[in-house]
Amino acid sequence: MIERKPLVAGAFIAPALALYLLLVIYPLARGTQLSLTDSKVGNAADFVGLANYQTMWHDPAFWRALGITVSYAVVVVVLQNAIGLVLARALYLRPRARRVAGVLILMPTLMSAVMSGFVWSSLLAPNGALTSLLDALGLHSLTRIWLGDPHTALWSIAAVNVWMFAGYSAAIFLAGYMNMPREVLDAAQVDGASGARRFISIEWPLLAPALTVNVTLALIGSLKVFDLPLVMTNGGPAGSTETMSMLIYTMLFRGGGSFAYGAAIAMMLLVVVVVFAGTVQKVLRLREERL
Amino acid sequence: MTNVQSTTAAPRAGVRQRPRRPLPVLIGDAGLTIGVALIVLPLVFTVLTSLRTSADVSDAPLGFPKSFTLDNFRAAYQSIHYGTSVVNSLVVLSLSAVITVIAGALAAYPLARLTRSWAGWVYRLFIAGSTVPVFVLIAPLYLLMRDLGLLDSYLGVVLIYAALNLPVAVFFYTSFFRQIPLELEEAAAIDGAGPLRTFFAILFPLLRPITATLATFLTLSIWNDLIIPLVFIQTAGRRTVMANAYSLVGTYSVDPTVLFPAALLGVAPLLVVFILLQREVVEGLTMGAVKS
Amino acid sequence: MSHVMNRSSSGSIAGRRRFTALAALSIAAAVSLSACASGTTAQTTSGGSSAAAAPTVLTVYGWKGGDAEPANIAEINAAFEKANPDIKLDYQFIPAGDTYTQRAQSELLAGKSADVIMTDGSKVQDWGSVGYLQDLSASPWLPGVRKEVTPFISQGGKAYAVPMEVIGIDLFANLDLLKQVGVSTAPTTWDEFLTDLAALKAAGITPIALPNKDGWTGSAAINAIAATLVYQQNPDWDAQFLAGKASFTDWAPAVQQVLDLGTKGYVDLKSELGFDTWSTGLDDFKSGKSGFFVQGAWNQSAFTTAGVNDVFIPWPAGGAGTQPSANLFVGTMLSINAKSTVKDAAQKYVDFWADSTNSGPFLESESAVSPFSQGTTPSSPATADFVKAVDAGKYRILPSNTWFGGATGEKAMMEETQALWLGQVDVNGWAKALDAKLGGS
Repeated sequence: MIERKPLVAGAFIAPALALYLLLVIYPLARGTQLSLTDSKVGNAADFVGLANYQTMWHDPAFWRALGITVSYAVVVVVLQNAIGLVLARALYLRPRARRVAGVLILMPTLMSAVMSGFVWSSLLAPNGALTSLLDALGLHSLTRIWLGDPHTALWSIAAVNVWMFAGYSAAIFLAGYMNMPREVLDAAQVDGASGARRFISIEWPLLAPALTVNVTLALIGSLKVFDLPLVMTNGGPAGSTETMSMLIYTMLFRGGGSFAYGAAIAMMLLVVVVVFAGTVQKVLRLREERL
Repeated sequence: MTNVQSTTAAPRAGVRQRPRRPLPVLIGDAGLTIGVALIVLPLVFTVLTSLRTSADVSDAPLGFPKSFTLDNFRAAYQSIHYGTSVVNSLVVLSLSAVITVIAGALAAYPLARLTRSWAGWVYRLFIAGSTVPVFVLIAPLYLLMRDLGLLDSYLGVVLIYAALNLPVAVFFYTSFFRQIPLELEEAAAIDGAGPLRTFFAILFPLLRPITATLATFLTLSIWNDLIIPLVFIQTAGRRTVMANAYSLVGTYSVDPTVLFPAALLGVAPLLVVFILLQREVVEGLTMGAVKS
Repeated sequence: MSHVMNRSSSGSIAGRRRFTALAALSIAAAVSLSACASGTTAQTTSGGSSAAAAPTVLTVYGWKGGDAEPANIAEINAAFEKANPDIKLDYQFIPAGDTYTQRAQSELLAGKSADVIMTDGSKVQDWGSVGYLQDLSASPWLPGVRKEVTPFISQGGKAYAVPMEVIGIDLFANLDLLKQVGVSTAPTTWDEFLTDLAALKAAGITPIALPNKDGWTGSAAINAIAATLVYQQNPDWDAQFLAGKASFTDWAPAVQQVLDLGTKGYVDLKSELGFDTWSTGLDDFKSGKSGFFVQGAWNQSAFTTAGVNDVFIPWPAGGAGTQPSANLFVGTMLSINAKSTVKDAAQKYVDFWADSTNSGPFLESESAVSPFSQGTTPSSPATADFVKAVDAGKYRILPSNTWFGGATGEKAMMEETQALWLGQVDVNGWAKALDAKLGGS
């Protein structure tokens, strides 16, 4: 009905849009403008065109950060949603457990990334809980210097990221489950379909909107990830966990007059996220419509 | 209630209690319990560490606790000015959440329904903005707030949080709006209801579980946020609880018996808000799932 | 689907009412609280009083002086107010590092920051160059600053800050543990050091701890060693490097010492990369688990309080019969906001700190050295040897205002050193990488 009343539609959108344009888009535009100058600390400075972007193109640290950020995001999105889905289904099938377990799995999300980072840093230390546990189980050969070995550091951080948000993904999937029409689910049970088949042919397609939301949120969040690697490894060892956000942060606030350069990298991050998230969104939306 | 029967078909629709749960379900139970335990364990660790003395923790960070003290919590309570700052956090949170939810839902309605291209572009604009890490915006935002005279005020911070979280709200709501059938709106139109009434009387209530889930997300992101209150609120008495807690990280050292209790205290009210919201979510979900 | 509609309409009215009530309540609360909060003058006294002779309010920002690191600043502030009854101080602690920069830099950009701002070598370069800081070149205490320290408080030929401290980043030695293995004094040469480490190892005590997860300790250790092995022969190495006349290959012997500690089994470098520098590392030394430890002198008071019987010494890198040089870092400074409206009061505060009788408590708490040539440096048994070395002129200052500072300097050294410890590069590779990354700008 509202499609026939574009003015009303505009009025509905107006408050949100106004606030957003003023407090997000405008500063963003200023940030873009800064990236085209040689601003040292965020002050007004001289226009230098695309010089910062050229530096960035030739900066190995930038490309390394890009690779790290993308691979990190892929792993986190896949794992977080897989685990979230398993949890959601388990909880959906156990209504009595839902209340308590539902709150419990969301607890990690309550802690800020900074706190979680500190806690996990000590748990993952060479003499920490994880190593002790593996030793106790006789799996000593599997132990590593989790946060000090470039081969495991990034994935350790990814694991903590998943730990923090798997419960949240589960909550969204659960909402998706609750939205499913009971008749369809019950009918499938009557038909005697097995759990796996029910999942594949009925639940999975009906979860499409929840999946879209989850994947998009997880993707954007993990592409922007920053406080977790900052607290856990400070971008180390040897730069193997320096994500794009960390690189930007360093340029903007650690002095040396690289503010404008940081702004340029931030613009690139924006482009990367928009491209990735946009594509994924498009694919998932099309799928939603098909189903 | 629902019991999975994966072996033979149940002769009737609807389910009944079985005297013994089949094996795959038991495995699932075990898995779920282990999963939840793993998730919760690090938090247990945080609580335990907070209850030990500093010397004990330095000596054996993961060892069996040899001490028990509430002093850490007492000290943290004082140094982060708990009472005042919790109230500050709550105020900022509730105002931001209310604005975000209302503005976001209102905007999402046409964005979900309209097929015109400008609607698509507006939607994309919202998503694009959510991709930038907030610290990129801090400097220009500060200048803007100064010019608007909103520095060191709750209103300024609330508006910033609302603006920053609108993309998520819009995103959430458009995704789930699309699931509401058009017939509902048409029925309302026939009844003579205008778009605003249709929205508030019929559509918005249907989104209750989504609103509650979104509110949960907003609570988490706003409550724990550090940088916005730190930069935009100058008066110490107006600071939020987490901003105060974080100030306990020394220039060059982190004492877990100082930081963890503060963090836990900071998170405690969140837990309460959280449990209330979860009840909303569950209630809303159960309402929505019941058959006609 | 359609089933959703019927049930939800009845439940939703209650829900909607509750929601509206909640919203109304929170708005009411907010309004009344804003009224309250603006009336309450919080914990710090912002806003002058309405007394007859209204005192000038001076706002000061610092990243020390918070609960975690009080550094006796409150004491000094109280003394200042007593000596200047017409000035009221509003000292605000802001967490260190990037948080501090985000807050202060944004405010300076908007022209609204505190009157006196804590700065450091790097910030003086950045903020001085864009005019945020007041020129202090006419200050009476300026000629008294140690000549090596003056470049750190200056930019473009003008002085922009009063230095508060010069602080050591060097070696801690646990005397009790050394006594246990029959060593009565801390080592002063490399051979003595190795002997002590061997003795500790034989007794099953961790010889030396170099937790390096974030890269800080690795870089700190190499710099501590270079103080003796590079800068004793060549005190102008920094200037030469910036002019392109020196290379990091000169640092090879220093780097090699750390690697040798690894090969001799006194430290497991790869494992150390997993230990957190600022929590585990400190805790371990505080609980007497390791014989030696590289950190900043500011930890001395925490160690003393924890009952550790230790000394703080320059890393004994030299050969027999030599004395090692201390590794110093120009620490915090105080600058005046160029846009401050109470510059006279601010100048008084800055001058107050320049007098070492006033800043004594701060130096004591930080175990730091006075940045003034005639200033008094408090000495304690733990830091006696270190202060002796400094007084004898055997020291070097970390160039945090040139190649070591900024976004890239220390970071590059931390990263390359981690790569070195991982075996990703060898000593030559390390030197080449740093020459390229930090080379004369």
